[in-house]
Amino acid sequence: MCEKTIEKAAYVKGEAEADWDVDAKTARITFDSTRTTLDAVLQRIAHAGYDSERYLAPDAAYAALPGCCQYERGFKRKPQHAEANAQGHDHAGHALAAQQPATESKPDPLTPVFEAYFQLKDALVASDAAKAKAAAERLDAAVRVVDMGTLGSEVHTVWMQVMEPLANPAAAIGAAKDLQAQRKAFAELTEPMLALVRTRPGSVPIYLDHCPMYEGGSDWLSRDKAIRNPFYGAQMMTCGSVKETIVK
Amino acid sequence: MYALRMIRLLVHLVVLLFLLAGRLMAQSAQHQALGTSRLTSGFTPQVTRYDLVITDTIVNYTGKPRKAYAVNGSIPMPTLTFTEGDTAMIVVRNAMAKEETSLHWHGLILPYHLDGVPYLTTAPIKAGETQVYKFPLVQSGTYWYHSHTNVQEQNGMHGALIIHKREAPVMPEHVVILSEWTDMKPKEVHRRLHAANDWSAIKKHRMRPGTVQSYSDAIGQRALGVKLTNEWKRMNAMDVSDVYYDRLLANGRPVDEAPQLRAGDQVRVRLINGGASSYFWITYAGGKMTVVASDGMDVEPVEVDRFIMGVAETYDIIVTIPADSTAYELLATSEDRVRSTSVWLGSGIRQLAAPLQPLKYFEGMKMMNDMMRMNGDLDDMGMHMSLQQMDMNVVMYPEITGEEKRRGEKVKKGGKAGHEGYEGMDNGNIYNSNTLSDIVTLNYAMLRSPAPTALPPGPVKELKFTLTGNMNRYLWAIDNKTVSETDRILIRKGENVRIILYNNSMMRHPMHLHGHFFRVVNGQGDHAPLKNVLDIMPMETDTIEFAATEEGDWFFHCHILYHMMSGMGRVFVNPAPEPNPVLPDPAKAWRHFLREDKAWHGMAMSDLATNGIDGEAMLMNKRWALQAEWRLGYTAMHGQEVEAHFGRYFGKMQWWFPNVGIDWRTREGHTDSPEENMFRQRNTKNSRSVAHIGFQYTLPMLLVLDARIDTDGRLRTQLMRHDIPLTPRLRLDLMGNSDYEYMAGLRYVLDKTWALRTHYDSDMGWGVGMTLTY
Repeated sequence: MCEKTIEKAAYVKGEAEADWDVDAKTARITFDSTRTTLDAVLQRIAHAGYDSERYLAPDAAYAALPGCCQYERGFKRKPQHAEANAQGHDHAGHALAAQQPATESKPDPLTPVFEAYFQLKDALVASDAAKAKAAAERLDAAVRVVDMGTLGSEVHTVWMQVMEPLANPAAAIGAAKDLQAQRKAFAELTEPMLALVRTRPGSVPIYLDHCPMYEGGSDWLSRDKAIRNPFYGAQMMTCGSVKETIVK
Repeated sequence: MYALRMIRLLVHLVVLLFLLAGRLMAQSAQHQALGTSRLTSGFTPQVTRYDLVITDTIVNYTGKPRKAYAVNGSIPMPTLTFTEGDTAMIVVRNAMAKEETSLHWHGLILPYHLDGVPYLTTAPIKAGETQVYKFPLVQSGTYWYHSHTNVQEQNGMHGALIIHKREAPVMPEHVVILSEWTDMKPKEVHRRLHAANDWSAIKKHRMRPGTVQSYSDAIGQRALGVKLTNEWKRMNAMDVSDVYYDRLLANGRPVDEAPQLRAGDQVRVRLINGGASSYFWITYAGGKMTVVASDGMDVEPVEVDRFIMGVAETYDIIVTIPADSTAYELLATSEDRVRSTSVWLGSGIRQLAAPLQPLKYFEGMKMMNDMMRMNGDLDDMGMHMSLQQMDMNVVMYPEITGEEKRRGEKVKKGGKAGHEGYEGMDNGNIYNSNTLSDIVTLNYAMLRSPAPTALPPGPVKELKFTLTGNMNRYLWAIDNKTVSETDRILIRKGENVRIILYNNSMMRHPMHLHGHFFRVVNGQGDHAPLKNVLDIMPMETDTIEFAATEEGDWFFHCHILYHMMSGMGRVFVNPAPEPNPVLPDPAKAWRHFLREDKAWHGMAMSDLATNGIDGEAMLMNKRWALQAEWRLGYTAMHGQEVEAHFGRYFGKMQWWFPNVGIDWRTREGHTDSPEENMFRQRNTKNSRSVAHIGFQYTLPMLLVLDARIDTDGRLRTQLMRHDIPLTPRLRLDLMGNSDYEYMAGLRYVLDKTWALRTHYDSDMGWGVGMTLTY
């Protein structure tokens, strides 16, 4: 599918064509230098959503790729925060802020829960059972230490409902013997976590992702738009799609 | 001779200097009213001098050598940089062999006789002549300069003019002047526009299918009803812009670069739309853009995702270079979305901006059908549109109103998540781009001056201008009167002038006022922004006002070059105590100035076919036309006929064309054709030599009804329609009349000159041949 998109974008009759090698992740581009340029071909490929060493795809074009075609954007440089932050113009700056959403004087009591969940998810993406176990234990602990008195009344109601559904699978993952069992329990965390996320949408989006294959279709939450599948890891890293974007 | 010229020049100079001294006082009055930064004391004003030599030259943008104008060998003309409070001295030499020229300092407050509108305020710069422009710089900001003679501006005579504030700039700057290039001679572009020739649309169609809006396109889009209603309301294919350009240019190049910028840098980009007829959408790959000035005047910073630049507008924006080793695309796309040009800010791997997707033309046509009354007036359906806030064109923008519906495909909605479409919205909001999507588009209501701009107290002179025009004959006017059809409008010092503009035409118009800034009354109270170009969209009503502080003649006109050349403008005169020093014979100069929109244009089309030669030619100006038609058979049996008429177009849509003419024909050997016409009068098809009087009227479906009575008392009525676009290049011609004559023809357009044609004529029979179009 990705191959087809790339080759179609590059192709102009009698001018240029590309041959995409899936394993090597390289394209062989043939073009008539009297009629076009390599830059023109690479621009077309980038407009279809694929980065190359010369051109970065527009973010919208990348985001429009189906989940399984999204890839790690190794060519893209990280925005520089420091200076831009000071001037209040930087968007990545918001990402830092959102991880500790409450004001400094009053840390959000739910932050450790979110942090532990996303660490657990990352561990499963990496297919690292030991790390997943550690993250699950942190999640279990985080759920139990939340000081309910500091929660707003709305959040409080939801919290009462999701506490058990969060703690049980977390404990199960901690006790599980293999990745398979961990992943099965991890799937159960999505529903209560989603309920929690909905109580406090932030300025940084949280993505509800969907894997159509695992257990007949399962969801998970992520902070990154790019699909990185925790149910299969490297086996099927980019399988899935964004089902919903939760943002303020 | 040479000595004489030198003396004349010297006299010229002395007069200029003398006048300038006396003007400084008046200048600073307006300067303070404008609220620009005051001159800081303790500096010594300097004279900054530029020498400009204008030559004609040959350029090659597309592989075809073409004539253009260059200043000091450069296209665009060199960027002139000054500092506020200094004096500009610009020595202009016209080194061309024959052509005269001029330079207008766009947006500058200066004495009127230096404004550079030839014959109106300033003498033209004749071939070989040198003129000196010297004036104090009483403002700062982003401006430009261009030729105001004929269509020279299109072919290279535009350049940036930047006036810095006295304080040193706080961040890096990059100046970008946008322009277009056409391989067709601008004079030919102008002539063809008046002939309603749609070769431009066919050229665009190759880049963006759908542009011609032919019947085949309509059927493909399941919009046949839309097309039929369009023609019923006598509209030709909708034009978003009139001219096809082969290239769009940033600083004279297809791609411009500013590689010196580094990650974390903020840069002030001074953007100038130096195009002759193109609006540009500006978008940026590195995040939001902060608009900080428009037309040279500061505005309170406003963050946007995109904005449109009308012809001749300038905008200053501040953008950030987000990451290291990356160049970010600042993308300028023409409003018709046929082409774009890019500026790369930074160096390294290139981050592309999302391209603007093709327009949904049939959605636009549908919208125009709803807005157009049968008499050609526009109906805003009570929406009170103004200040670019409700943009009817959003119906054509996929990024705002979703992807185009294709056959058998479900509609993909763009815009805001969870949006249910138009149904539940207030009337009017359906065109508000900023409520329809998360993309923030700048409009004039968002501009706010940091300093108060209220006018000094004084009597108000209120003027109401309705902008009118039609595409068919390319007549553009104010209140259906061109510059040459009206008198100058008197304004006086101490008066405030308020103009209420209503655009009753189908195109948007960038209206420019010379020598003043006007306030755009936009709900910001005393902080209304100051501009010198106002883009006004169809059906919008906008109010602008200015204090009549500057004496002399000031041109107010549409800055689309071909609209201005067609006469869309007015001249304000604020009486000056002294006669114009550089135009010694004002009456003669005025007559010369008015020649521009009185120009005559020719067009001709002739078929060279196996059954004869038939064709037509027309010589026309904005109101009058001389038409000739011929059908020349090769044999006496086919015969020959020639007719000519002369008449005047009436109404702002110019559907009426009463005329007088002559009709001559001869043929032999026909006994089979009907002896009488439909009015039971004896036919004279075998031999006729008469004069006639009659009229043509354009009916719904663009059918032209021709009715006439000749000197023998015979009546004839005829219905015809030329150039029905079956497909983008295949055109149908139909004709039938009360003499039982009829014709049907098919034409396949090969290029701007040649077409293949086959037709059947009741007199001449079948024929195949070529059509030549001039």
